[in-house]
Amino acid sequence: MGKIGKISTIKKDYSVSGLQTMQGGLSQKGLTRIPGTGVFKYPYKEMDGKYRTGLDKDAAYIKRISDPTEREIEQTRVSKLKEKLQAALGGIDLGVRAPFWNYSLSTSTDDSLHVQPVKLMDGDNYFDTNSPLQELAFSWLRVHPTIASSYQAWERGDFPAETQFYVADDDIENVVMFKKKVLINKAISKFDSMTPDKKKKVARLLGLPVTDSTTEESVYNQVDNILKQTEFKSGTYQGLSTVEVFNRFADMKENLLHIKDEIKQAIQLSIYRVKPNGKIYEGESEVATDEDELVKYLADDDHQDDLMTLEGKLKMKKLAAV
Amino acid sequence: MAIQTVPGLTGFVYSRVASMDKRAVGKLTDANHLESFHSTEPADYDKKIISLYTQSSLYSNDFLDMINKSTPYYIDNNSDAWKWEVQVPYKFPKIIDIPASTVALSKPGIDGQEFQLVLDTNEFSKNAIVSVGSRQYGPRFYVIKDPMPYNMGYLYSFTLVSDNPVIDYVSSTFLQIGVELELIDGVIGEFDQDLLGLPRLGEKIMMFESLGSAYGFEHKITEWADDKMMRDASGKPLDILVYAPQRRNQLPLTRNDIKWEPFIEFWMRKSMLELKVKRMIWSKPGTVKTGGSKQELKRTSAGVYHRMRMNGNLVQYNRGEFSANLIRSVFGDLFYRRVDVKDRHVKMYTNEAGFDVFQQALKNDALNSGLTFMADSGNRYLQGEGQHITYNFAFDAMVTRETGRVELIHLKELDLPQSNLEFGQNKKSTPVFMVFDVSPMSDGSMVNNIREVRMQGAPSMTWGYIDGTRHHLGFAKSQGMSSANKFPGYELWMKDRCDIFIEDLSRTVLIEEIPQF
Repeated sequence: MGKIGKISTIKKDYSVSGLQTMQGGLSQKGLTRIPGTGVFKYPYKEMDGKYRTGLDKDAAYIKRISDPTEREIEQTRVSKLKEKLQAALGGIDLGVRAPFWNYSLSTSTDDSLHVQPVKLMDGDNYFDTNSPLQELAFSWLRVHPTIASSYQAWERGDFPAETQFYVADDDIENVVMFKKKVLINKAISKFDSMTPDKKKKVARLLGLPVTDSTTEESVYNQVDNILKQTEFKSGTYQGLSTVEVFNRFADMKENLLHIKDEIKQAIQLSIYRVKPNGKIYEGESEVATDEDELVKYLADDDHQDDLMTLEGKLKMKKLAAV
Repeated sequence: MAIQTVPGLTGFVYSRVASMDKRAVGKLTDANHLESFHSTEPADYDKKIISLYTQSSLYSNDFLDMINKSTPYYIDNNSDAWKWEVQVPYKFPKIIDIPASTVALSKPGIDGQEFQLVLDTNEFSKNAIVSVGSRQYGPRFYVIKDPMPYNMGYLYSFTLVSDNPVIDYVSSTFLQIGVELELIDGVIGEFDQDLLGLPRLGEKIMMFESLGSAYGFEHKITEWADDKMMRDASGKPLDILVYAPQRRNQLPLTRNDIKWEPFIEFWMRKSMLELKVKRMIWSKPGTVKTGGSKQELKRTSAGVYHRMRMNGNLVQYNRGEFSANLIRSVFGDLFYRRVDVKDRHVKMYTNEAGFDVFQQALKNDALNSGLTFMADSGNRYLQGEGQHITYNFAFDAMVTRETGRVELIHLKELDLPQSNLEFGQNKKSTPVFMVFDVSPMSDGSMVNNIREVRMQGAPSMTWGYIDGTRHHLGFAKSQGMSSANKFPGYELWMKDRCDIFIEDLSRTVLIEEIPQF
């Protein structure tokens, strides 16, 4: 049996206001719209005249995928699907500017040279991917801007709150989730093999509240927890992939990691201050225009005295704090 | 001054004119405020006012004319809410799950093999024969025992009906979630005691809706302002310009008040009507709290546009891709198995941009239909002769087998002001088509499918005056008057609470361009 594509209505909660409304009444019955009504969908045309076909590996929505693995998986998948569907539909051009996608050129409901609309009804709408036409419909529907790419994406706010449908595609979610889990597990294993001192440095650079007196177990738990989140929820790296940022520090040369950590601690202990424009000050004098410049400066062989001075100041500050 | 109207421009009423500042009249008129409308001016240009052609109209009130033809619904109990029932259209039973035991079969149903499926209803009983997927092309399954409850559905055991049971098996095409089944036959043998059961009852659901919040205006006038006479040295009334919608085919309204209060009262009434129309069409459902956070929760109910968009039939097409075939497919689908071909008709209320795309779509469809249009057919397409020929044809209605007669009506309320959100060379608002009633009993207008709702105890708007140290009828009435307070003047207020309600959203269709995201 082939895979079934599913587009479902987003069940929203209207009970918050406590008012008796039609939306709330429908929602109580498990409905989202008046029975028998539906929404007609057509392939979406971008402002540049390209259609969102779900078959274009260079589509803007794919380029916007920040995770490189996820992006690569999607590019490979759509390329294969396009070849498969073109072959199944007699070599018809399914390029992003092909006339096939322009519904207004369709002459009747039997016109197989042009795309046909899809009427989405309340509840689950199924697409049998054994049938090329249904698989084609599912391919453009799942990238339609009025259909959330997943329920989680709608919840995250990636789509407008008024969006009515979402793609319930467990297989794709599973592949992406699998790849993400592999990356997370690799990162955790890499973290495991670090020295206790390096673990603390990396943890501090990830923005975690780790001091010299924090136990090794606590450091491990904090880093493990953050790696298992898909992205940073707040702080300097907000919105970025936790694994990607972790790998950035984990793979860094030891001396650079040490300098970065020293600077981070110096800022935390108010030896340095960062002004809103990014410039770093020590007292009233400007030390560097930004953190990267300071790292480069302290990494330079000619400025090792300055690094040692900073290390001394840090030591004193920590002692004073105790 | 004389009232001016500009050709091609509807919707402005030039009743009075202000000096060129952009201050709102707001909630209070004091003497300085009133005077400042007519501060010392340079010499008059001979035309006095030049109305710019590029000024756009706000909207007209033809929507209100239409809604007034429907009987209002009055809430007459101890509630802000009302309820009604909706009959749920019949849906065929469908496969909602395929048990692992069936998935594991390589040739399900071969040689009388039993297989199981989970359906969403239990209406097929033992000895029934059902068609699967299609009456024409689908296989037939025989129900071998009554269904058993199974999670959210019912577990059925079937065998395949076949003339060649040793070869024949069920194609995977028909063993898919979502495939619908229909009772086609019953097979009762000599000793069978199990006859078929009757299908499920019709379903209806109870729906609720609540009246939204009220709306209103207020304005204070000081007694010093009230004392002033709005006339020039020769006794002619001074002019103030206001923006006010104008009904179709209606002459511009004129006001020649020399007192400020009658004019403010007139204007406030007009503003109440305009706001009513706006909220009835465009209001977006939601809640707000007074003061922004912790105070009274207030509801804004949905206007017809948002009701149709969120809960009715919605068609969103790409810019430039409106076609006659779109109308055929949308309404063909809505009428199919519901309305006889002879009774079908569609009235689409649209804006000017809607007329443009509709006529263009019909022209394209006609020219591509295979018909040959002869230029020399009376005065149908071309008029005149020689160097003075007029090219003149457009279609404003069409008849197809799927849709019946489809015609357009201009609803000027939908001619929206241009906005920077709409990019492109054509700054005309985007086309939108509202179909209020496709049922054969209706004339296509919103009569009695879309109704005004109000409390029976408040069947129309209310208004009043709070007299301070000046009576609202002027100085003469202010002697020995009963004052509400010592505000040096008086206050006018107008308030109303009403809503709009669409009884049957399944009869409505909204067709619009999909916005660029």
